[in-house]
Amino acid sequence: MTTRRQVLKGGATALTLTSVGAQAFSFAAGPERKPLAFDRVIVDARIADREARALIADASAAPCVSIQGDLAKLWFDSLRDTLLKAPTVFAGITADLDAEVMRAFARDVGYQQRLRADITINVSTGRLIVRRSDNAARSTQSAISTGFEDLINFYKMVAMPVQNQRAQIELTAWVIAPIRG
Amino acid sequence: MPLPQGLSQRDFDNAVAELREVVGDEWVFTSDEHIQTYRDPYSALQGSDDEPIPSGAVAPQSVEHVQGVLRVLNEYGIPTWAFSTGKNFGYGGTESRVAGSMMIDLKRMNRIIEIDEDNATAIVEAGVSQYELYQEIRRRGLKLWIDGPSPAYSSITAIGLERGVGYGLNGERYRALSGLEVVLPTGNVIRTGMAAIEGARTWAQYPYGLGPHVQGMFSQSNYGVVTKVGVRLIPHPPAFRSSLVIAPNNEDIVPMIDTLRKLRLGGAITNAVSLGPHAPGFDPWAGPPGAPPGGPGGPGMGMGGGPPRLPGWSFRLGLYGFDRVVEANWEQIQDEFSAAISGASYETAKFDAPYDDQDNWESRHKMLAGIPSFQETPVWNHGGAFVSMVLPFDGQAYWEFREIYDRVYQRFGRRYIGGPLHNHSPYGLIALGTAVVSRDDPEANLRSREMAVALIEEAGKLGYGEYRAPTPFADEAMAAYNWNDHALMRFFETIKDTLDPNGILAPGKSGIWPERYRGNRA
Repeated sequence: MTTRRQVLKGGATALTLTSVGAQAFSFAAGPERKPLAFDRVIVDARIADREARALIADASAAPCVSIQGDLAKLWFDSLRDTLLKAPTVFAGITADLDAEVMRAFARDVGYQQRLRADITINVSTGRLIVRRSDNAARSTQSAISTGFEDLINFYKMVAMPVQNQRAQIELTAWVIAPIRG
Repeated sequence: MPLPQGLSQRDFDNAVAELREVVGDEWVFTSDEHIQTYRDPYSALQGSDDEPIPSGAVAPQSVEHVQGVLRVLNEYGIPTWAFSTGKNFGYGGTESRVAGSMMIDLKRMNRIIEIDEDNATAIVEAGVSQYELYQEIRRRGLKLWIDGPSPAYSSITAIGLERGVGYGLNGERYRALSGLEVVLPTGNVIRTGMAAIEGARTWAQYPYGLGPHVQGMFSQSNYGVVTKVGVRLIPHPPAFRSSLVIAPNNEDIVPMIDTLRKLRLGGAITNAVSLGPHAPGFDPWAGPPGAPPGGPGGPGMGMGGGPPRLPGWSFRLGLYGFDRVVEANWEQIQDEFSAAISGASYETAKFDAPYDDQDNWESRHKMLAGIPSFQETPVWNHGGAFVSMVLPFDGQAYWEFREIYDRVYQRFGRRYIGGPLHNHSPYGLIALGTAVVSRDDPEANLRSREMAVALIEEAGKLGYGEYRAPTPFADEAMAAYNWNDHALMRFFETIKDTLDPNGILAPGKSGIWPERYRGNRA
């Protein structure tokens, strides 16, 4: 049976992706795809395995940094200095708690959580609910917002295989960028 | 954005302008975007009209800045709430009691003044996190541990002042503090203990100094803004053994607690252990006790009967010291638990100095050693307000307490499964219950608030009170301290009114209200 991941690697036809949106597929499978608009992507390894993270990194054309529920360590060890050196836009798919911790860290160096989506996955049915809690309408025209949508859609495809032991998964996707003005 | 009560927009704008003169334009925050980040993301008041939204935040970088900020806030009568690097999840976050407060954010005060390896002490500013101190210790190659991580971004100062409990040798983190520098609400600066001596050379060695021991007055209080602390660290022991003690049955919690008491009081076990349900395949997605849905205590557990039966209990144990002593204690500990609990089992790992590979240890060993680790942060997608009762160190007392807690939980359609139980000292236990906070269900949050208050009241009838209370429940928690018609509270209020005549600093913190607000209290 062809898996979603094989499709994403270009090894199968598009027809196998019956539950995946057209936008996500065109983003993921086309050789001319545009990279996501982020300088790096942070993913909690507890919700995306090594292969999933490699696929996300490939799609992003940016480093995919893996954490193990230890976003704060990444912050103190390297991320804080990175953000202070040059304006950086980065996205994450983490637990809600980490999203909140990162939002407070970012504030202290002149950044803000620009976009946010709470994602609920029913593992048995494959149903996925995405609820944007930022002002999506305000930012629909931006490359960052488009990239964010792509990232969420892409995550739907690549991360599902690692979540088969749980009934329901809740996580948060977010984008941090410098405060404007 | 709410204005401070009774203040006009014009006066508020003038106050903000003066604050900018004190700390610089870029360190006063009044935009909605910024204010959002100073709210508690897991506030128990979320979704209600009672959530106290701040009017702004100011980030001083020096004692002089703090004095200047307090001068402006006194001038305009603006309430304030000070905090530093920690998130205070479960206890109210950065949430104040009064809407329109101007938050004092101490993160910029993050200098490490001194580290004394030989005496295992340090002096730090209030904004230094445990991890930042650890980074500096590692950078200098010092053989010191900190004790008290989880999570490691918390402030050395705040976790001590809030009397947080940990897992290592300094289970009571307050006991790691020695000597404070404090800016009083009126702007005067004092130092306590040995730090009160000009050119003090024993700031962090002896917390008491001479005369009344006033350091404790600034713990869980609203009497001053603490800007520097002396802190006691832990020298690397020659040997360290990290173990897990497992009891296989639900009922084993009684002999487990009683045996632990014997070994703690007898000195064989010196670390602050934390007991909880033993779940080998612990699912970090499961959430805190009572979390919906799916996790332990979720609706799927059903109602009725006694507390949910658990597949066993366990706690982590750290042994520190000379090799022969560590090994002798470990042998005795196993004998004691095996005699008291049929089928008791153990997992253990031994480490010997020098601990060159300590950064690569599993997080469970790091936590016991005092090496900051973030890796055990659970993947909770709901927050919670902790209801944390101080209990006797007695197995049967906890058994009965668990039944009472569960009955209250069931009144609100939830279950109390038990644990975690923090054995902060050889003399007592702290039992945590959790009132779950939802990000998107105000009705559920209302029930959680009602449940938290009910738990406090029921425990109070048994003669129990909380060691630390989430900010929104501070009044209810303090009301349990009612001997002699709340004489202790009247004493607190007398001190408050003397030190803070305008009542600006953290009104309502720990249930202590200054005179100007007491008329509004129910």
